[in-house]
Amino acid sequence: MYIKTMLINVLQGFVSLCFSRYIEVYLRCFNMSIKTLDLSMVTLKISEMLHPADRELMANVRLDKLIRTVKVDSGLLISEDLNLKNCITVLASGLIAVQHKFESKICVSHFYHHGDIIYDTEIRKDLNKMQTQWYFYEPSILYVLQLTGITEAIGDKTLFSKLKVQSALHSSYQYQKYINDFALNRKSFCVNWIRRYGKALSLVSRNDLALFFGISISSLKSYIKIATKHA
Amino acid sequence: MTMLGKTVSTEFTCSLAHAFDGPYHYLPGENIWEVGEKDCFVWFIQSGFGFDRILLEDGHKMLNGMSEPGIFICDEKSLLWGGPSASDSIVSTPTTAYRVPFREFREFLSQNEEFRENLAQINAYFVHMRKLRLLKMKHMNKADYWVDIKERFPGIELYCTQTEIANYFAVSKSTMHRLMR
Repeated sequence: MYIKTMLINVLQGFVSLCFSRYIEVYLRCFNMSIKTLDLSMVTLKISEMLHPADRELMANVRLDKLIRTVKVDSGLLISEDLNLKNCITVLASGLIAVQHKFESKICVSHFYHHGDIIYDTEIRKDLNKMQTQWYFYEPSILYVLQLTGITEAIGDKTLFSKLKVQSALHSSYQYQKYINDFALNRKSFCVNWIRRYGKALSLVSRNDLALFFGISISSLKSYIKIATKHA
Repeated sequence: MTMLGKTVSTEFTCSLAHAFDGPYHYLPGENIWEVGEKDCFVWFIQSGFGFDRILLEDGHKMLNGMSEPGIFICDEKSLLWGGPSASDSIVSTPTTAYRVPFREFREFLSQNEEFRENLAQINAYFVHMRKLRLLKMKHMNKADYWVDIKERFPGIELYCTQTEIANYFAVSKSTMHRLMR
């Protein structure tokens, strides 16, 4: 009798564990329809990403039917939870840190902010050589455009091909911009960043921020002072 | 043939090679392309070394990278969004290169599914390299980083100014001067 009760308890525990995992995944990534106000922002972002000669291809495409809204809870993203392959994703709200292991430290190379286009190339298992992870500092909303859906919707592969090419080129170009911004004048980069993304100060620890800027905590404190003084 | 560890078909390689014309030869100090050029190309460097620099929005010119045998180089901004080139590329040693105009290259990309698939992989590699550079700039010991750079770009101090190298490193000119001594 005792063994039977114990077995039932173990089974119940197992079922509840599986169920809670299912609920967690479900809560971390559930779909909603895109807010009308945000549709123009996303359309503009995607259109701006295209080469000017190809932008007219977007004229007859209704993106609201093709974009899925994904809500992601705060915490570390498990890449398998969110399949963004062949997608263009816009961060509608939230703050994401792009973390890597470098010389046995976890370092943030950059952050994604509201309105940024993000690509899963850096976290996709088959391409992720630097153990890159996305850390969501707060519950976030992503607008995801599935490129294969476009072909089905408009019955033409041209826009799909152009977006796929452009997004691949854009993903690496974005990094060059992070490098240029950072390299030229570290102090001014730090001060401007803090001014522009002041909200991040309440979400990211001072230690992580100092690591992100590649400066000491005391330099960070003085840059924060400068940035907030004229805010 | 393999591209970044991935096998690609001979048909694909042949059609890609067919799109390029040349050879074009350059002597040390000559530009492969200059800032403000309207007709831009993707270049394949067969032999020779050189450096390319980006003109930033604030008017600064910044060292971007090195051209070396076996790589493709171009003005990325112009490839992405058209307009005149915002960078230049100057060779440091006798160089031979082949080229394809942007418009033809983009057309080739759009029409060739195999290339599109490979492009994601190629750009993931670039992202990886740039990420690594960003992290090295921030976290690597500067003296070690200078040794690392000298190994990768032999003779960099002969072809680039100290200010350019300091910007590439994201350190002040005085720190760079100390490191180079």
